[in-house]
Amino acid sequence: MAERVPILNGDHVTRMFGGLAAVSDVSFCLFEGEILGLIGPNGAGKTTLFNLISGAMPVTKGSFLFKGKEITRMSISHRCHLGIARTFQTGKLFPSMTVSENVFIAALFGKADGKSDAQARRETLELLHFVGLSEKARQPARGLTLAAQRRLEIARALATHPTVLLLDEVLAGLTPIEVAQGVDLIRSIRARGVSILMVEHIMKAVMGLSDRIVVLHHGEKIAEGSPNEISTSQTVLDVYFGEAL
Amino acid sequence: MDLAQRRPPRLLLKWLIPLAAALLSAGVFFSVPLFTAPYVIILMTSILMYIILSVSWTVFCAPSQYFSLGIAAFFGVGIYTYTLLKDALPWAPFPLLLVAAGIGSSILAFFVGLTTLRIKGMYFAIFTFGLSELLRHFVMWWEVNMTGTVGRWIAIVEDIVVYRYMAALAVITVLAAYLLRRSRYGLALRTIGDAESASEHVGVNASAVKIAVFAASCFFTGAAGALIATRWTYIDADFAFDPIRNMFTIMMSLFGGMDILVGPILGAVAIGTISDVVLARLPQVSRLLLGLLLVAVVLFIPQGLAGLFTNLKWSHVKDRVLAKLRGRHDG
Repeated sequence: MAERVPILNGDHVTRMFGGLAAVSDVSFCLFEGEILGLIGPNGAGKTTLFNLISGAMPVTKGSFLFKGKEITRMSISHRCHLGIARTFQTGKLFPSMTVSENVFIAALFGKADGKSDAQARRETLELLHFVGLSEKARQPARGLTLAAQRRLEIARALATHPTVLLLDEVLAGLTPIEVAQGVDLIRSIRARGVSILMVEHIMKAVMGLSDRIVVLHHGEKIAEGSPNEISTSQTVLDVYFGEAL
Repeated sequence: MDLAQRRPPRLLLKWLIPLAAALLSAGVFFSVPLFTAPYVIILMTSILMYIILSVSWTVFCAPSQYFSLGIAAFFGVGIYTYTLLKDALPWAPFPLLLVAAGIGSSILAFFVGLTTLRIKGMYFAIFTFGLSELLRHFVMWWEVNMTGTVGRWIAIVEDIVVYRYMAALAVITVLAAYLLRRSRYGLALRTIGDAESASEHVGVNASAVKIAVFAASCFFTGAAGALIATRWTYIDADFAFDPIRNMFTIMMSLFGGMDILVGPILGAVAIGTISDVVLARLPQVSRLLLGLLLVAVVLFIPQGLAGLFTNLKWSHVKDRVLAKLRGRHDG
């Protein structure tokens, strides 16, 4: 990448749960237009870090800069208005609402400046088409297949016009074909000018997509680098496969 | 109804339908007393009151899934706001005092919301129930120890006047609920009930939406309380904050169905009429019967009367009729 403009910085971020540091002194930087992969074994603190960035949890120590602006103490909805959106690992759609309403509400409220219903409706149609859910627009969100749920979560997040999108295991549990389609979708999101921070367990996907990768283990950042560097790093291999004898 | 798919309504459609419905129902409500016995007017007034209570309760609680058991608190605060203001400003016009009573309840609801709507589900229910009881005992204590009385006299207002105001207030309540449900804030309230954490993440300021709608809905509860109290001539804390109103309101909403707007209206009309008839014929067992009814509703028709009707799928019936008609033409 020619010019690397940082868009989201984490600066020595720590989150304690009682005596346990779920995230410990983690610093990272997401550049504009980049896909940054976040990997690590279960319990490494990846989702906690997402919760800290999106504001779902307060940090114990450290701070976040978004486009050079301090956001550490801002509310979730305020961060969303600024341009940080996310999906949820466990899936948190609005089940009683239709597929299109799920996106529509995000288009209406995603930015602080009020948008007309008509404008929000146009954006909803466009995004449903983008993620390939136009056919299902009028169905209730409950009862969608897993892959469709993930796509809807992505469309809903995109409806808030984010500059940074946090994807929390959007490919987990999908069939190989669906994973391949998901990878294409993530590439086309980046092509829209959205910078992406993604947590993913499917190594092939995350290695193929990411420009750089950060590895967390027991809440600490143990490695950072290009997919190539990470896949050959002895520290990372030790964490994933146990230390060599 | 799919708000995202809805075509932008023409101005005519958007306002004409609710306006026509409001005028029609107002016309019916206002002309009925010309033909009926005083008893019917009194019964209809209390049914209208319960329409107001159950619609204003459902409009917040059903979509947000925050269940308030504080209906009696806001009802009683409306009554006492009215009474105190009436004593202080005897010249004030009646409608103004009613609005003030509603605002009194809204202010209380605003502070309750500010402090407790961050508390999840069950705790909010228990807190608001505690609030009703706390206010009941506090007002009783205050009257006995500070004012040296138990209750207060209320200047009586003619039954027919109370009826007309109640009808007008009911129409306004239903209209407000209708508009809220169709608006973006109605949709935002549903996201809170569905997945509150996700709702913040799509930019909804969940606390602000909850507090605003809760406070607004309690306006109608308080105004209805003040209005009905003018029929009683005498009030005390036990009567103004009677928790039975929580039970009645919730029962009517459940019985009618909370998913659509006509649900609580149906429930208020049905249970209001049934309980009146039962109370007149079998006073000893009336509450027992209502309790049984509530159990039956929860067990057998959890979506309420309105749910029963929508499950019948009117469109299917219509399709079948149309198909038959068409068949006859073809043949």
